[in-house]
Amino acid sequence: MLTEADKKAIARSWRLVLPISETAADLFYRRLFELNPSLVPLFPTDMTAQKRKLMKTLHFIVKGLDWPDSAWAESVDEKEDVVLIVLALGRRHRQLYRVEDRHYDTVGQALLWTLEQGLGEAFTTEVRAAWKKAYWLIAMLMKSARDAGEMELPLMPELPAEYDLPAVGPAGP
Amino acid sequence: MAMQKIAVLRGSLNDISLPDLVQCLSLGRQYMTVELEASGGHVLGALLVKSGMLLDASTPQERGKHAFFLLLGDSRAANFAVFRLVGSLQTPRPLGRIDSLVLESVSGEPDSAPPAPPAPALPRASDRAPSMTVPSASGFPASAAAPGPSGRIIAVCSSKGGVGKTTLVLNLGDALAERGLSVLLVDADPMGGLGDSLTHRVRQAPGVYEILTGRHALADCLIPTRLKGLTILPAGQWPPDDGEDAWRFSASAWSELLDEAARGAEVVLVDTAAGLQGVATSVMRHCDEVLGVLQAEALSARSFRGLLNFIGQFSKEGRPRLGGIVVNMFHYQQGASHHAVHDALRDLPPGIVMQPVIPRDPVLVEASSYGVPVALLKEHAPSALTGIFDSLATDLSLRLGVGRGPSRQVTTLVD
Repeated sequence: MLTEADKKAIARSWRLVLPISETAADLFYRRLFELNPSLVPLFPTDMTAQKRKLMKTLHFIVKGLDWPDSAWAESVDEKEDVVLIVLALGRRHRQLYRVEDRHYDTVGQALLWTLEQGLGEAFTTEVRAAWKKAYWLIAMLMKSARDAGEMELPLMPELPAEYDLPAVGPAGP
Repeated sequence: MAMQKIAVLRGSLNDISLPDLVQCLSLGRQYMTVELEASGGHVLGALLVKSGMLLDASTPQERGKHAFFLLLGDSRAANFAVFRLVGSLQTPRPLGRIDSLVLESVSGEPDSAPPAPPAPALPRASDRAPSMTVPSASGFPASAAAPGPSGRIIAVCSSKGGVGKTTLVLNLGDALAERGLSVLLVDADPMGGLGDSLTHRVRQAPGVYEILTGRHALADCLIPTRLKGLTILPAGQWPPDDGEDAWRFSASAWSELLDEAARGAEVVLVDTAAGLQGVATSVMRHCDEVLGVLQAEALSARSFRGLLNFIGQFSKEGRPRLGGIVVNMFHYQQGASHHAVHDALRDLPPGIVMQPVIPRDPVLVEASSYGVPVALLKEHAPSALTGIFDSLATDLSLRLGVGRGPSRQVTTLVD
């Protein structure tokens, strides 16, 4: 379970990743394909949109986890609820992309490696542990949605525009 | 909007363990229920989670934290179904953070295990022929397993502290004993209700806690008073921070304690902890009747509605029912006091309020500071006050259909 400290560590370190999100996405997929080249055919040739989607989804999840225990009674709209979105995501990965359970480990490794590259010294033992725990829980949730075909999950929606990452790099403001 | 239950997920516990599942589900902010089934489809229980918190857990026999522990350890659980609850849901108070509860369940600390059931001193009902079950003289079925009188178990409850619950228990108990009934006062408040206002000896004595934990038998903990027919079961030595965790005592431990108490007394008056959490609710579930104590004051009146709703939920399950409402600390000359009572009691059936109401009176405060019923404050007690408790006792015995009449005269309640 994520503690308040875990959630804070994730939110804080994510803020450091945001400005280099394009690089982070590059690093992530490069590492993923290194770890398991058989995954390459699952992705399109032009990865630009895919990379943006990945970072947007991560951004959504990080924001969705960022609430204090004291706010447990508050609700959020179902279209912005981490669990429901992640379940929908898991179902789509299973049904459309035929992702297998073992692939989640590879993705987790690539993600932690990417964060380590991007954060450098800021990727402390605590930060690493928090991300690992969060990824493990999210991955488990995605995997558990494999049989959710007939259930009334929201169709994987377009995440609201507020989760779009600011364009950075030479073209940015 | 009525509450809707939307199916979200279904799966096998071979693929994901129950602690993992509830932890994952509670990453989100929706109310989620998890139903657990045995491989034959038989439902074993359900959990309600939201935002990292366990809000409720139930099995056919248990409710609360202990039900969660039971479900975590239930080897028959094979499949799960997850539903999202949408609509108006009264915000419950969480039983705890899921991760700490899971830790608590595996750490095996002695207090978290249900107390071992005491060796049965009496034959089980199932050991006897059904024909042994006969109605008792008082009209209550007295099963073969519970010979002798089976008294009425009455919980005295309030939505907040400081409303004079303990004073009421003591004085009502005295007045009922005065009428010739055998009365047992049970101090079920871990923070010590009765014990606190009585003597040092009572405060140090073993009691409810030691019985629940299986360290003492009920009979060894009873403290006779000098008043014929009035006995006290003290709270015992609750660990300082254990009030909240008193959930962990299994429902059967509480029901065994109270049922055994009822075998030895015609009326068991239970002084509960204030509020609707932990011990108070565990106790209420095993009582026949609840007397709600309403302090005639605005703040108290507001929270009192919560208590009534709560009892209402229990009553749907058949036990306990709301036996009556005692209005306490009534200030005749203050409009606010009248308004508070009026607000708290609106839409309730007339006749639910017990008569008479208890006025705000310094003598009552004094008597409770000595830990005695007002009747024992010889020099000060105006006859009107003792008369009030006598009349309340009359009202109560009429409601319960028990009671007779002799009297006696004593000075102090215990040594």
